[in-house]
Amino acid sequence: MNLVSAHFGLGLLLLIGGAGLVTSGWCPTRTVRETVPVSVRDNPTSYKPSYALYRGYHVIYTTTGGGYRSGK
Amino acid sequence: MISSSCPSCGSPISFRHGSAPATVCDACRSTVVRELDSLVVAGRVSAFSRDLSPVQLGARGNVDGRDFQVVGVLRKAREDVRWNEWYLSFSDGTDGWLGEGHGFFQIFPDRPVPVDVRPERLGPGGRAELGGITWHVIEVATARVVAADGTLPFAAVQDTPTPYADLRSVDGSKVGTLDAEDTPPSLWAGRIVALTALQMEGLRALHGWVDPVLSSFAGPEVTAVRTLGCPACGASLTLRAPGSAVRMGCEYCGSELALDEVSDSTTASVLEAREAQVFKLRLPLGTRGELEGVQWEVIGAMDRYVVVDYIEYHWTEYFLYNPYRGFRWLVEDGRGHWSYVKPMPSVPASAGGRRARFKGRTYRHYQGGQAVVAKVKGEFNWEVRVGDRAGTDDFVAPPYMLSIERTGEEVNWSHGEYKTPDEIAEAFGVRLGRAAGICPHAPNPYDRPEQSRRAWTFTTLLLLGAVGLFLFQAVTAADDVISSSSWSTSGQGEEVFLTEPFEVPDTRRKNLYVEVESQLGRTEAQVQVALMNTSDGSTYLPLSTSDGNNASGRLYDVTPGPYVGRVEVARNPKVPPLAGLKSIQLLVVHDRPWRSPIFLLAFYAVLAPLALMMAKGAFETRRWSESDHAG
Repeated sequence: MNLVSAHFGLGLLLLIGGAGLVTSGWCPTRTVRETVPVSVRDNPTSYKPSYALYRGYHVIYTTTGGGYRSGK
Repeated sequence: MISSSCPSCGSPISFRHGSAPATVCDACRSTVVRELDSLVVAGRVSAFSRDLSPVQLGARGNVDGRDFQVVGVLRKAREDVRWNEWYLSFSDGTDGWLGEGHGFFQIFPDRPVPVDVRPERLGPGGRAELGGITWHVIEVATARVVAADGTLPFAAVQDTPTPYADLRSVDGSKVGTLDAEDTPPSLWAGRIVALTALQMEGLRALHGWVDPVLSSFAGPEVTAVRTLGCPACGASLTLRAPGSAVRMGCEYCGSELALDEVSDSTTASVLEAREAQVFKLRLPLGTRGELEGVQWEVIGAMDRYVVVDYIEYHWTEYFLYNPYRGFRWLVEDGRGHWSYVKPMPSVPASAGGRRARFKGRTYRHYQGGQAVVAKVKGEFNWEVRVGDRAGTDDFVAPPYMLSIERTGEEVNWSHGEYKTPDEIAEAFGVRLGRAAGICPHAPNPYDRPEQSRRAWTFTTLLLLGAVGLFLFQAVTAADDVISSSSWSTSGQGEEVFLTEPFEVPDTRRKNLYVEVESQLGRTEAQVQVALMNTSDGSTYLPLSTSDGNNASGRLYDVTPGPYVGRVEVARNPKVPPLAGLKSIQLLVVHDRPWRSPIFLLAFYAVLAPLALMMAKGAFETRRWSESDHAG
């Protein structure tokens, strides 16, 4: 099998993969998923996001403190 | 045919062409000439040896729709070079000649034109206007008759000198001979032909040789191989082309030998004696192989070289022979690349400077030099010597090469075709190693039409597939904005904003596109987005804008149900307070098409032709980097 055929074979795989993506609606997801308790669901304002996504050079400053992490 | 008796010995003789005045008596070798009503003996001449040619008296053929029969032959010589001239009797009562020499057959089917120019007045290498044709003058010399047989148009007497000039028409389509046999001299115009094209029948059967086209033979099979002893080392040598070979390199001691015909045998004399010579051949002498359907035998080899920047670059030229087809060359360039080379009877239509044109193909000049013969082994049909120099120029149009060699006033063109080691190994049944580097006329492996065609076909198919996916996605994707909110922030400490509740539908494609835009600077605050399913508590944090406060992200496999979006703004206390309000917008879209894979596929589709073009260019750069025209 020469390079052109290999290229076409790989392209065919990409095409099939693309068709799968388009059909399923899959997309790359970079997120943190967690399940919050009912108390937070009832009061979304009280939710405190985890810091897992944070990559900046400054921290999140909170002035009120607490959140459900602290048992609120 | 007129039959009579030889006036010398009384043996029966015949005149096989009505108007031909001379014939050679087979019994006493007298040349008998018809004069009025009598026969007279004009002289004597040696017999033509049967092993010198596949053509023989009585053979028949056809040229331009005219049947002919071979009725006589002259063997002529110039110094050590010998050739045959076969006298033809056409069925329409006319006559002509079939020349055989240097591996070529030349047919002269038409009557000659008398011209007022003697051959001696022409200059070799020059041009002459004769008989309405412009000719290159190839050679001017004096030939002598060394043997004759059969009926002839004049009395052939041993060693009779005849001045002649060999000519080639400027357009390369004709060959000519200016023959001083007659007064005034006769200009014969003919052309190069192959025996196969003449539909020859009744040829001489040569032992061990078959031909895919010529199959009609007459008479007993002849062994066209002679043996002779090396006068330098005493070894027994095999002469495989006795009718043509004039030089030989002893394959045992390397001595250079001159060959001479004596009656039915060949003798050798030493030109340069050597005691030992190391010249190993990848194709040993006597090896046979089939190229383009024709069997060829290796009968000689030369080691030649050119000097570039004080470095010798050697290559090996194998001399191939087939008695029915003539001579060819196989050239091995020293790095394992091969060329199948044919002598060119005609010169290229145009050849000058950096271009040569031949058979509709343009050849680019690659390199020139002074080729020197370093070693010889086996037999050759010209007077080759070790140390011989020739000016060479190569023009390439892969996989073909035109080469010109200039020696004194002699100019020879040849046409080569690239062959891989595998092709030669298979043709000759030998084992050869892999080739190294790039040969000047090696075909560009990235420039094969079928390869390019396939690449573009595949590219088209993949592009069509990408377009199909794009259209399918555009038609089927919901691309539904399910939440769009905006707020203003003063940037005082921490602020949290909530969207109105929205519903993520339960469809096959469970993905969300989330986008946040804010007027906040990247050092002023951080914005973080969370989507919370208020039914089952699933919460997603798709975005963090620490790298800037505008961002987007995607979520896959999102639990359907009621949601609320939460946007948290965390102010950086180290920067001064914000001047005025800044806006923040959050957009949530269900099933927005993700087109990156399709664009990636389209890019990949055109990658192959692009890569081929780049690889082709890189190969050509490497090819020409070794030429005289390297940048």
